[in-house]
Amino acid sequence: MSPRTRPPATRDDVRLLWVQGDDAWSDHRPADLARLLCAGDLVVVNDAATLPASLSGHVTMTGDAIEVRLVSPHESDDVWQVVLLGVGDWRTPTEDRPPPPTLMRGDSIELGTDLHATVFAISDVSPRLLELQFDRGGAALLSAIYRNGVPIQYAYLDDDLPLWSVQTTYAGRPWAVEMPSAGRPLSWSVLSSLREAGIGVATLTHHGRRPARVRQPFARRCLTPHDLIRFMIEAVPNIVSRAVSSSKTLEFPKTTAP
Amino acid sequence: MNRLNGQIANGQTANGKTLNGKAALVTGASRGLGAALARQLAAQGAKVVLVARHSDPLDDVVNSIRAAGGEAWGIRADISDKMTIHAVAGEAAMLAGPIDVLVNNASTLGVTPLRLLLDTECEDLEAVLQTNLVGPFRLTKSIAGAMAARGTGVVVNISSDAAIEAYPTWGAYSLSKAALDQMTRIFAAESEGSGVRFVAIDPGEMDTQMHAVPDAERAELQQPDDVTHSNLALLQKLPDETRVRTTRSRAS
Repeated sequence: MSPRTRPPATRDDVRLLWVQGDDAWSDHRPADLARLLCAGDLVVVNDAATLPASLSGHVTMTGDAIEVRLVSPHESDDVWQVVLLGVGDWRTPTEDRPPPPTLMRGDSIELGTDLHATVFAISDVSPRLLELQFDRGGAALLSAIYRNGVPIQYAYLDDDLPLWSVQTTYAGRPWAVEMPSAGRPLSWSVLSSLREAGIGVATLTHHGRRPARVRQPFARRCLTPHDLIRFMIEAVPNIVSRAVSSSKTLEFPKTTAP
Repeated sequence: MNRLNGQIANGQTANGKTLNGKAALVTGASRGLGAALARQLAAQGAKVVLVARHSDPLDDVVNSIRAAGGEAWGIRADISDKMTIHAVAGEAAMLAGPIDVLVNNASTLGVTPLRLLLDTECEDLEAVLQTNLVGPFRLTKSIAGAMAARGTGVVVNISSDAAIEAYPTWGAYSLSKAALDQMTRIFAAESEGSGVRFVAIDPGEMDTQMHAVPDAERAELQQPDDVTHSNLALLQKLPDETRVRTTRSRAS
């Protein structure tokens, strides 16, 4: 099976695999969801807008080319955890790209046309996993990211993915460094059909900027499957009772470190 | 009735403000009607994100809102540029929270002095449509979906009687506003039941930089602040119609 090499002309022009047990599955389209689900069911979606999380530039001292991909924000609004890639671009599979230059704490990077960052910390998991402190924070940093960044691209595609191709129709706050792509096929038409069929749609908004203090490759703002299942079990009775009448934004409880 | 409408109509206020805690995005907000709308929305308790092409006048309006105790932020952007649309939507949502009120106010007359439509260059017409129609189309698409997911929201498109009347030399602008009106109607029809309301407001003739054409009788032009009071009254009780014309009203 080969992946598509470009986004579909219409976002809901994709296939949907409906699995009903170990031996029962069938091919459908997103437009079939209203028929496959029942009134009172609930569809929970991630409403994070996708940031242009790939920033290209060079190491200030050496001029070495570098690509920075945002991973997760730090509790300080001018610091991000990032992963580094070396020379090349998305048309080269990531595993075939040379390693990035080795950076030390305090090294500076120039990104895009006007963004400057300093290496704040280096992970002991990998020298390409860093915390970068930018020369601005908050709204000014967000604006600079939009101005200087592009969406993370994929080597199997023919052309650049523009920012509008990596958004869901209900995207709100820009939290995601890559698109919550499961929701991409949910066009306004599909969502309207769900609503007309009495199927609820709820948005899940992630909170908790502090990454879990475990030794895993990437600090995550999303939750482990265990955490998500626990939340859903606790919240489902409440959700179902409201699913038919309204959309609901679910405030995710802050997690504590395991 | 969506939550925003209900909250306003039921007078659920804090400190007497009808839009307390709501988030609004206003384009073309550095002067004229857009600036006046932004000020009034903030005065009613809304957190307002203002969008305009030029930083200095934009900053002046933002600072004046803050000096008056309101919450406001400015985003310098040209909404005719498709590359900026999702940045505007994302930044606005991050600054003020999920947008409850979108006001597509930014517009251009096109090349001035105005020319007969038959003398208008194709490229000039396209440029007017990009700002006055396609920009609002793109921005609405980037924000209305999130409104529908929350079951509440209002999209206001600023129209003109030029959308209805055939004024010679106003062709490019007229076409764009007529199309904007129809876009409003179609969005409203397609989103029925979603909780998102669409309305086009014709503010009438105003004494602003854009509308003060050389042959205008200045004394007969409305002040933007007067118009915004009418517009806010409309927001407080949205009519069933998708197109309304505000009448002259004095600030109370």
